[in-house]
Amino acid sequence: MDVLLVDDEKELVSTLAQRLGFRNINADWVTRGQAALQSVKEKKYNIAVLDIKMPGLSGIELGKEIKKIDPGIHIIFCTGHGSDTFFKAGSSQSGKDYYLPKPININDLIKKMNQLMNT
Amino acid sequence: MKTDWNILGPEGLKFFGKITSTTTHDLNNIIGIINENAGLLEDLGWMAKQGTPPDIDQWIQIGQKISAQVQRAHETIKNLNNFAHSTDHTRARVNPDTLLALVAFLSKRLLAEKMVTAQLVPAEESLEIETCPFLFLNLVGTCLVFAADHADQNKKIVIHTRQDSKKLSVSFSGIVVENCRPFPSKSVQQLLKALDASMQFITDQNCMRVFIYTHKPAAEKIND
Repeated sequence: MDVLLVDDEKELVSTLAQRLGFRNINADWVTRGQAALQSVKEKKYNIAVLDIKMPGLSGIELGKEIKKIDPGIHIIFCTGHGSDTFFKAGSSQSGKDYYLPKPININDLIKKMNQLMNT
Repeated sequence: MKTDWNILGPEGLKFFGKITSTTTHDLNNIIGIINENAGLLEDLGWMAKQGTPPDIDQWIQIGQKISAQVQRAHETIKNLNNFAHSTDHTRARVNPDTLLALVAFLSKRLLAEKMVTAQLVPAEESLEIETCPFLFLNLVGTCLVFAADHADQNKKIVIHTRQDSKKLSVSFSGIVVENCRPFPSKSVQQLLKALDASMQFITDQNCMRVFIYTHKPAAEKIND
């Protein structure tokens, strides 16, 4: 499974990529939306994991742009928003995509990834 | 014109909410980094148990990363706490540079979302004014975000302060003044009124300046 992680917190995203690597998931990471778009143009990913609040292009906008490049890619949005209401509303609006709360539980993330890969 | 608290009240709450939601988002990111590094330590521990030789230097590095994030969290919480305490008194003697440093720190993420940074150049001498600390923060914070929205191609807002016997001036430079109309908004006009302040745009210096008058008591005292 090839995964692209996008989060403006370099320490977070690089460590998560390393840990996914230990679990046989190939994870590349970038910290900016524009770099993510470039990565998706250059390589085929199964899943993109996007932080919602990022400088420049937000995660939601980035998700739409990524889907234009690769309509088949699955998206998992991550949010540090504290409200459950926001979280549930976001999950239902996003159709086949998923929202995960931050901080990310790696087991939950992998479970979601596997679910998406099996749909 | 009388100060309209029907505008200032909700606007103040909105500002308070914006700052606290942004800062707690930042704290959540810090927890996320600590969480990932703790997880990485656990992963490495299991791998060592299964026979992978432990890389002690990597363990030390992870510890250092966690310590750095704890320090970052401490700094963030200290500033958020100071911000919350700005509502303790409706009038107090304060150092405006200290409040500007606070608002610049707490607005860092809001500005980063606009790809803008802020630099505070404090006055050489120690400044002091009597004001309403929260309304002062509300005014300069709103001006800083406005300045970021109208930043020039350098994407850097520089904040200068100066004080004479009559007034404090706070300059926000690095903006495209031509794009700044219409401003101030109704809520900023009310903040200016409540703080006995005014605002000026200086086109040839690419800056906007806020003057807070200190030579006379505020036009309308705020009741405790």
